[in-house]
Amino acid sequence: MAHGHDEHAPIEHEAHHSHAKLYVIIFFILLVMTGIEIAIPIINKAEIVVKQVEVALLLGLMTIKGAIVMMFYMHLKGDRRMFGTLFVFPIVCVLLMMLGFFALFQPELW
Amino acid sequence: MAQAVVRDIDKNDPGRGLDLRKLGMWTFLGSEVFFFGALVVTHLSMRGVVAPSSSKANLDVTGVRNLFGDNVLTSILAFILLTSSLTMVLALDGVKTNNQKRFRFWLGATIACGVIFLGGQVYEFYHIVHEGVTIKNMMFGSTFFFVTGFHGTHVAVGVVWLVSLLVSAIRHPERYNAGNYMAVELGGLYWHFVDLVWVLIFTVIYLI
Repeated sequence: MAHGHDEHAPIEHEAHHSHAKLYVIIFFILLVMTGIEIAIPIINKAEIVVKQVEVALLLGLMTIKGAIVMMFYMHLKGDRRMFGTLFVFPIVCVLLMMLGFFALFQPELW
Repeated sequence: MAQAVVRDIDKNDPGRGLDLRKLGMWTFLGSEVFFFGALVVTHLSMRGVVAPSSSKANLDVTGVRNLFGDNVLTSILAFILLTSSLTMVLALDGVKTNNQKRFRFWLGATIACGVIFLGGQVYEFYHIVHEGVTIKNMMFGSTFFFVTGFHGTHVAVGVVWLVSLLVSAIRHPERYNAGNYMAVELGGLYWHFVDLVWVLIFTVIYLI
């Protein structure tokens, strides 16, 4: 049916190849990264590293997680570049704005 | 000159190969990034402004995090939303591979995750308000409830959207298939965006 071999199939469109396995692998990667994110502030209660390093690690993990979701779940990887530009440009602006506000209003994190 | 330009545009393909519905959705999501970005940075600048000592509020930003242990509740919510992103992309994979059963099952699972998330958020809000932090008695509360509340509203809109897709798929089997899945893809893009916003909120508001 999927490739048009079944003459009685109600659907004439050719089915795409499934990427379910890749999506599950991506999910586990995101899960592990989220676990690390949650663990960092708990472990660092003993102030193993300075707060600035902790914040940098958390923001780095957040950015990587976001990029993975966009590339694989939102299919920006392989889609038209224009869609990516429309979405990523505001994200870059917001991240820069956020860093600026951290510097202005929470200088202890710098 | 202008006529020549008009002539060059194919009336059957005004987007010149771009799907205009998808282009519209990405533009909308881009504007939503600015919207949530503005809310989050406002929270960052105001979260230190807690209630005056005369207020009965017992919580500040650290208190909210510790209300359910070390972010236990919000970590569970993060896990649920992350799982819903997987189920949504599996639903899209199901429709793209013409597997209607798988499509409907994973779409239903995504809706269930969304409803559980909303329930968890209502539970969290109830306890925070019970501790005296409200949307109007201090800037920390105002910005906190605005950011998380708007995100919750987006989740609720997403749930309604996905329910309408599921009902439509059940009432009209084979409506969505490998040749016609744009409606599912657009719903999925919105849902993944909601997850993406939670990735930001979870890190910036609850962890940092």
